[in-house]
Amino acid sequence: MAAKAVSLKSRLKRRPYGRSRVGNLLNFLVLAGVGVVMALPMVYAVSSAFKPLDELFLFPPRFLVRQPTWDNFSDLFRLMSFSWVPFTRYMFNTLLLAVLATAGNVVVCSMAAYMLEKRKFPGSGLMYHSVVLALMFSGAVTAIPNYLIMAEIGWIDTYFALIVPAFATPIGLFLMKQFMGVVHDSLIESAKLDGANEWQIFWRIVMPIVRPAWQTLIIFSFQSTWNMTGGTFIFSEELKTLPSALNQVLQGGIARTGVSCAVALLIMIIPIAVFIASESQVLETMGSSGIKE
Amino acid sequence: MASPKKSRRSRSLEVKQRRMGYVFVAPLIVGMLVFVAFPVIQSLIFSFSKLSVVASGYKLDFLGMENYRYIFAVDPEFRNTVLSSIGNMLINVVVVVLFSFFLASLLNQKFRGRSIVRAILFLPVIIASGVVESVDKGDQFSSLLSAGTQAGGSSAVGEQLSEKLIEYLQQLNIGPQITDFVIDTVSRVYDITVMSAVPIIIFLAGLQSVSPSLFEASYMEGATKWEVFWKISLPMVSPLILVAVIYCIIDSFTNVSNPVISRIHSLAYDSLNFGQSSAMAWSYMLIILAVLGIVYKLISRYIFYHE
Repeated sequence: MAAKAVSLKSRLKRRPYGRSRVGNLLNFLVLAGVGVVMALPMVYAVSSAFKPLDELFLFPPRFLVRQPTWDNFSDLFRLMSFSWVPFTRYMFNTLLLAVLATAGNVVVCSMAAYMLEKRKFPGSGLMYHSVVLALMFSGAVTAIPNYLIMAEIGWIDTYFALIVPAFATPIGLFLMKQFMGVVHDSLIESAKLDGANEWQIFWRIVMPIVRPAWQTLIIFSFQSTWNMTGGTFIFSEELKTLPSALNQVLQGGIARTGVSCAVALLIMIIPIAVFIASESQVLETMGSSGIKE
Repeated sequence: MASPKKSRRSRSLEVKQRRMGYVFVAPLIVGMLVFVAFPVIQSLIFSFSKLSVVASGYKLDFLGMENYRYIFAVDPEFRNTVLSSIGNMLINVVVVVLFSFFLASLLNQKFRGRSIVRAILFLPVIIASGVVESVDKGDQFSSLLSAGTQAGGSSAVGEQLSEKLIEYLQQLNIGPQITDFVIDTVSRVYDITVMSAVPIIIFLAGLQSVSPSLFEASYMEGATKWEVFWKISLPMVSPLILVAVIYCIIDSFTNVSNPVISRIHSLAYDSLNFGQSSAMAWSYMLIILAVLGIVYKLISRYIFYHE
């Protein structure tokens, strides 16, 4: 039955949007145009990282590299081998932070979103609205109170100060709750009739169905935590993250231009890998929730 | 796990359900209370006072409405920047919602290379969202790019491109108005596409959840594609248009490149005037809320809810 439903769906899907050859060409042109605009900064960043020094300072600047070289990367590793915290340590710190914070964010936001969307209990509406209200408040002014709280809990100069606040984010809740609507109530009810408890329903039924949603959230969350600098919370050099190491490199000024391009590329590569790994599934299973009405 | 018989005796299903609800929501609520609600309330207190740093920490002197009076009556910039960012927001939202709806309908069809196109479209989110989040450091990526092009004198790729474009257009000699218009559009394209990434996800999800039987029925009745789009797809996706519009409004108002936000930042960290900065943040939030309320009322009149 499921297979039949899918084939019917794909047949119907093709029809409303099926177009003439000219229409297809137009679509392709629009997408290609937008795609080029989107991809250019990326191409530029990659090509800059491989530019030798004389090409970096060329005037007028050239978009693509002429004679690619690994010099910038070898300079970076030479530079970093003199610092007393090895480069790999910064890398490890950032990876640890990003993975833990992302995992926590997905679990906490999905759990809350599931309950707020599928189970109406007293106060659920109020909770949701007040969380979404928090979206509107700029993080700038809360820096001092935040520091005071961290000092009170005793989390200054530990990773808790960076990881735990990243768990509960309004944007995560908003996104997950929007997608939880896809899950049919009848699925949840039949699972309940079969004796599953809420915890089992959540992990075995709801989460697999909303997989595209949490994969999207992983992309957003990983991206934002990967770029954390530690800010005012982290003082120990060996606990600092890759972006803050990068800032130190950048402070070397104009002579470090090539090296900073190399670091920029290194910083971007991992989120892009995460993105590509999860994007292939995102949005693909959205409509097929396994129920045919 | 308690046996069903026992749990039925001890409490009703509803009570149990409510209890589980609170358990599931608790981590989020506790997190929000400690790391968002408390600092926000603290900043409300700051906004009514003058904060000065002393040896033992900080000291608050109660000022009453003084900070707010200063912002609205004395400060020459605040009102203008808020008004201009509202204007900007209106243009952005209209363009972004139309553009992302259009792109979402394109991406919703099956064609070869679709996943690559989707991946490329989300690249700016990958690059930009980090910039948005790193509040304390500001524009990391663009500062990197500018570090790479300092010698060339231009700060970002877009600028470089538009320089090339200006050169080219001037050689074409088609009149300054047209040249300006083209350049203005081109320099906005990147911002608009970056802002569209999340609305595209929202619309794609919406388009994919429309029941195929609706399309089937309308084609049976002899509807054309044009009619199906206006009478089926659009109304069915309309609740998500509201979501996308609200997302765009908030995004446009609160991203770090917004002049009001950067003023709030500079007041707090350059002038170290936390009281005024908090007062400004609070007034700004109330203004955003008012705008959101108006837009919500206007749009929800046209929304079709399918049950």
